[in-house]
Amino acid sequence: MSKLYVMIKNYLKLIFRNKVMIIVVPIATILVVAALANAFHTLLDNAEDISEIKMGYELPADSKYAFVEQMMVKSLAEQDITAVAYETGDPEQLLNDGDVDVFVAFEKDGYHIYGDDKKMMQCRMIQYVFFQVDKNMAAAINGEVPDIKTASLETVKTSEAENYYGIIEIVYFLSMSAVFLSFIYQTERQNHIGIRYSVGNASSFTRYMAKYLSCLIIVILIQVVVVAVMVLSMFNVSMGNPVIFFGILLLTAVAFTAYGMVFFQLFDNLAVAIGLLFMTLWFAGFVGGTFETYMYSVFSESLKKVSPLYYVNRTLVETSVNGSSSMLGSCIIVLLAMTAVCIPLGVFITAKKKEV
Amino acid sequence: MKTVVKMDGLIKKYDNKSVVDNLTLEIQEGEIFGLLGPNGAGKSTTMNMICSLLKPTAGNIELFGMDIKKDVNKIKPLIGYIPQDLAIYGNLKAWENVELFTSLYHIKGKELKIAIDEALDFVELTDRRNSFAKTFSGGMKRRLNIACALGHKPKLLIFDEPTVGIDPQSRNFILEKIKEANNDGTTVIYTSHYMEEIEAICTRIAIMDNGKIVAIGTKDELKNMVRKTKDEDISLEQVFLTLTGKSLRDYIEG
Repeated sequence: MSKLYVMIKNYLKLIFRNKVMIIVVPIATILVVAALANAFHTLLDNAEDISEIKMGYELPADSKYAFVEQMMVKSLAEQDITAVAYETGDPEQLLNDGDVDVFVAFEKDGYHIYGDDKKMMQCRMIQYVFFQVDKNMAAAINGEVPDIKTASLETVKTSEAENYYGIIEIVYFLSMSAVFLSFIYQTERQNHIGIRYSVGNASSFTRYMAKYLSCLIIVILIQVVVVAVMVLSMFNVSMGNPVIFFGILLLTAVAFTAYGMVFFQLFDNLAVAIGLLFMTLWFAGFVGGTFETYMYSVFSESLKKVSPLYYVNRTLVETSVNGSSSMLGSCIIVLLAMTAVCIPLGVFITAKKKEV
Repeated sequence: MKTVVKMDGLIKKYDNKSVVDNLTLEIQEGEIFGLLGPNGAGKSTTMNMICSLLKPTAGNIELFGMDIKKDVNKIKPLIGYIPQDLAIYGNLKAWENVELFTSLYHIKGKELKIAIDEALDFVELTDRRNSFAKTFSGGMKRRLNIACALGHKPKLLIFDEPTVGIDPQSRNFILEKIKEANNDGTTVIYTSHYMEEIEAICTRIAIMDNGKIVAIGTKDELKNMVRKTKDEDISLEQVFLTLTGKSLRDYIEG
């Protein structure tokens, strides 16, 4: 334990003394968020320039939403959402015929929102509206007066670009977290320092964990705490649920630090390691919504799901908008699986790659 | 006298080519044992096997009476390895470098602090303990390189060309310190291309070529092997060239 502590302590000193990296990473993150949010603001605004939504719905009498139907329709109308009731609506037919933008099929305890790819933003807005409805109904069950307030379309639209790119770029820069170790790897390769560790009485696991944990500490301090908080406050980014938000960021740091280290261990040439790492992250970001929003992406859902960043991006963006995300479970599983594969692989490479 | 290193029928092959070929050798406690040889002779491979960095293809190595295959974790704390490269972190201070590498041997707390002080004191870098290694001169870096291998007080020190590229004063200092460590009971294995260094400090010398020991003995015994007349004045370099030949050795690592 003491051995690990001394190693981590000295690695932390090495990382902190490489001031360029410590300064560049936070500044680069903020600059990229600002640039992308600004560049895509118009695009997202155009996409979200929706003056009214026509929503069809089917509401059985035994649904828990039945008793607030009138109130709900009235509130929706105030927000330029026209709700049209259908006795037995066929969602696909109605959407194809262009009779409605979105169709909500209520059930006893829940509802399904139907929409097509061209009306994704309308679907998201309705999803957001019903999140608010649910919240208010939960309050009503707790004895509070039911007050079906829905968010206005304006509320849903505002700061969307900053919100989206703020979250997505925090995640993207977080995925590159292993670069904090590049300076240490470079020094060790140049001076053949690895031979001292090979001769010394430290196990491969200890040697790996010393680097991994020191990098993780830096990443949590710099990127999760400093950068994330700065971006959240500077760009007025909504977390939705702070526990889920920071929990997923921590898991992302844990998984992607282990992932990045594999490249530094596999390739002795630092330029090759960084180049390949960035290429894989660029691809993951490209299909996972880092540059083009995943909502409007032309990629198929199955291709998006190849990218771990897609799970993280979608979970955080949905949490930011809705307070929760259906992707949360998958996201946690993907990040834990990455960690479970990359850490043993890293230890294995450390053991096999004795420097002579 | 105890046997510190015992190699028996040691073979190391790469692509079916023997780099170390049936090497049998014993090094006794308290010796400063010099290992000489042209590039590609198998010196570094032999030392790497002693340090358990490489596994022999065949044969056995015993250190301090323990089999290196079975008792590697017991053997490692007894060895101090000083690599030819300056294996130190420039962005760490002198004491931090020593702390980091000494801590690898389960030394902690007050014991670790004392070990750092003693190692830096031995190489006379105490007054520069708080300076970054990158600010040191070549000679000081070499001394720090040595200090990093001394903290855990090894019983066997292995020096791989520790005086490359430094001024005569620093070289002399290092040689004196090796003798001092030896006087304190540490066994030393020393390789260098500088014959005068080997001649100055080694109590016994082995000359390797093509993975084999071609001659072994004290410097006088080696000189007697090639002396044509009893009074002929001969240097170790002449012995070396006579035994290994004068042709150039273009050796490709690996």
